[in-house]
Amino acid sequence: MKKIKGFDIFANVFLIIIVCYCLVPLVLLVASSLTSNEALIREGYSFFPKEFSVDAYKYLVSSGSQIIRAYGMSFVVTGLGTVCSILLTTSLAYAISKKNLPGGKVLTFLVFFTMLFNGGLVPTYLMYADTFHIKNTIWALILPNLLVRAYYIMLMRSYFLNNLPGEVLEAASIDGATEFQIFGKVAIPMSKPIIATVLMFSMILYWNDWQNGLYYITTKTNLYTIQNLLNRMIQEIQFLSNNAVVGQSTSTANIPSATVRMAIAVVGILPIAIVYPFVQKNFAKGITLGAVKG
Amino acid sequence: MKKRFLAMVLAASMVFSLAACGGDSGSAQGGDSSAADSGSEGGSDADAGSGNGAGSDEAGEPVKLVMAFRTSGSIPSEADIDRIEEAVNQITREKINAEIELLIIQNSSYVQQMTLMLSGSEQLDIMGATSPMMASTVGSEQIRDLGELLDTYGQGIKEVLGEDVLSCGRFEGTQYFIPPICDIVLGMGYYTMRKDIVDKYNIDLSQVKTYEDLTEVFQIVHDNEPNMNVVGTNGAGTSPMQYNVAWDKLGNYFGVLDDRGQGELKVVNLFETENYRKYVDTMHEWYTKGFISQDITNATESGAAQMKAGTLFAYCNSNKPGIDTQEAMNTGCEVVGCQVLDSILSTGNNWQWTIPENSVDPVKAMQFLNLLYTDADLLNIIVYGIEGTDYVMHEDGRIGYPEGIDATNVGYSLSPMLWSFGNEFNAHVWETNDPDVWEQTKEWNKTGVKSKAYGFVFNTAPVSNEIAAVQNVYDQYKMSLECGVVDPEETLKEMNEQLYAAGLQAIIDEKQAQLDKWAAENGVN
Repeated sequence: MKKIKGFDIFANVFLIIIVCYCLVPLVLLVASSLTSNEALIREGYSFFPKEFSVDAYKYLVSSGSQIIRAYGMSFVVTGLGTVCSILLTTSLAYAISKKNLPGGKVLTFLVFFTMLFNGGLVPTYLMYADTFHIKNTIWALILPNLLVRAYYIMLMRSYFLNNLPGEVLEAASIDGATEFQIFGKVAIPMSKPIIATVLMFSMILYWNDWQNGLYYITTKTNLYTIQNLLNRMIQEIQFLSNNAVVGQSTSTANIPSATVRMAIAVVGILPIAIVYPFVQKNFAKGITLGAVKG
Repeated sequence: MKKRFLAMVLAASMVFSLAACGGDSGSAQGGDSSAADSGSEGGSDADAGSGNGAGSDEAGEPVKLVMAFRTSGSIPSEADIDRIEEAVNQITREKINAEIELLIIQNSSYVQQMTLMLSGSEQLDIMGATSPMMASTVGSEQIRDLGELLDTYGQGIKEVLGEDVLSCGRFEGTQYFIPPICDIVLGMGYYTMRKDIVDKYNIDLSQVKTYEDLTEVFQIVHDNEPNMNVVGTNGAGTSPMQYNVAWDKLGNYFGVLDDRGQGELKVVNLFETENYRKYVDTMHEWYTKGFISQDITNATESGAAQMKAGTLFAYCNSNKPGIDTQEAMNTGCEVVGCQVLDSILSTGNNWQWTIPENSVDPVKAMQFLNLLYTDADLLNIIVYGIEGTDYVMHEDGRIGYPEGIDATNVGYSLSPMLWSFGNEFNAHVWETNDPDVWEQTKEWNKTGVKSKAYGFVFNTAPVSNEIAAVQNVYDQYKMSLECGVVDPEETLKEMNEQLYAAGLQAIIDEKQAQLDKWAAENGVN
């Protein structure tokens, strides 16, 4: 009994340290985004803003409807992408978890193979740009690499294999349920933890994705997600505050270049930070349950 | 059996739903895809006979050309680009029966984006190339030999640039690129300083001509302003060395002509030259005397931002007409400066125009480039946008933002990239510059010490592995050495040993061989 208590103390202290490691930079980030730019450069980063200022956020807001639009785009892409992704992933994973599926082994192998190897950037780009022509469409943000992830399929497949007792499914089929009914009414409800897990993974992936926007969205800048927009804004600010050349034009010295970068990071992580706690309780369960447990 | 069948249907439905997604996007993109298809066909036609495009199209539908370039400033919104394209097309339809689609890409992702586009068959008719793209695009045959096109359709360009500048676009004797004409002479060793402090201590900058003189000035400031770093870099995390060049770097810094390319054409190791040694010694002296911030190698703020925050007195720069006005805008305070090294003129190839293999109509593309270099209206629209909306003309002929518009909310302005669009002397003058800034620049371009190797372009391809290895070594030492943090005495020796071990000599030899060949062909000695 005493031993366990000792371990508890150790574990708590240890975890508190870990939490601090994660939390402190975040606090510093928020604090510095609320500091005035000059104070930040002069005094350095600090947990307690020397000169409180919301100029950085003002600058972001002043860039107008763009940010709201990009936020909207991010929500649409994340929502649509995640739903499609879950539908495809669960149905494929369920199918290949069936031992008697004709060609199931080949399918499993193909999925597994793409988990280890991929075509590399240039062939992938050529495929999407020249064959599927999704460049500068919303699909460019949804399809490439994100929609079907081999890793999720394998994760789900092993969950189906290990946590759906064959007897239950058999019982359903004896009761006269069709294969679709079994999938929809028995398998899915029994797999909520893993679905929540993949849902969360997928959501984070879509929300954080900026590479697809970078490669495939070149002219239709209305399709920019928040990550692309923020990335672009960082570049522009760096430029505006560093590089006036002959011909360029205005007093750019008033942009809070250092703090805006912090504010942008805060804006970027906000929605995920809000959503996370709600899905979190299923999170750990989903991964660990999938492993062993017969 | 039934179960099996259903499982298969399930799998099949998944495959189909994927295919359906692909199909949708295909049809949504219908217009573009057909354009791209015809683009690739057109490209191969044009290969067969590059002349056939022009004659037949003259009366028919205008040819659509795609022009890609980078900007480091804001990328205008789609609607704004449409507006500009329409104005551009009014000119190009009439003059060369072509329409232009502007593909404006952020500086930071430009090289990658272009590499991707060039690897496929996407239409791309006019493209700006940055210097690392040159050897690679020529090597993989992604761009065209412009020699003939330039002779036939590019007379205007030839007149504007002149043989000298144009020769910077020749890669191993072949004209693949067309350089822009701008302030091509670089005023080296220029130090931008806060005017109020210079005045406060009665410093006479006209007497500052060498590093030693600078040291005295900095000492005064250091003694009297203990809370201020005296001198720093220009860009955050970049070495000040690029502003203190007293040699011809011949493309990269590995193997240079010493003494600004004035002596014999002998490629030497920069890091063993007196001039480089003098520079690093000076920096180290400044560092040990406390002029330079301890954190200089990992500073995250530019010199201008630090000056604005009041923590920095001076940073180095390259001189040119209008530099002080420009830096005053960056720093938000009055600045003055002085130059301690000679102005130099060496091959500058950080941006040149070219016509890729993927072009549907290289003739039209060259005609457009010719127009870009010669037609002031076209240039002004592409750079500044539409008069009245994006800028207004003042009485003295200079231009500025309209009421209520500034750099942060202007609809379309690529003015920061003005220099890259070919012929900046055709452009309107911005209100912050002298009305005769272009005249000044033309004069300025005559002042530099011209390297004998001006026009020589180094092909990095044969030694690309060595360059990567040497660059790695150099990057390890670069900042700490060139910011003066470490003692050059030992570090320089150590770095040189490692550079040679990584293959520096092979680069120097290759460069020498190419340079000798170039010199023989061009009658330089």
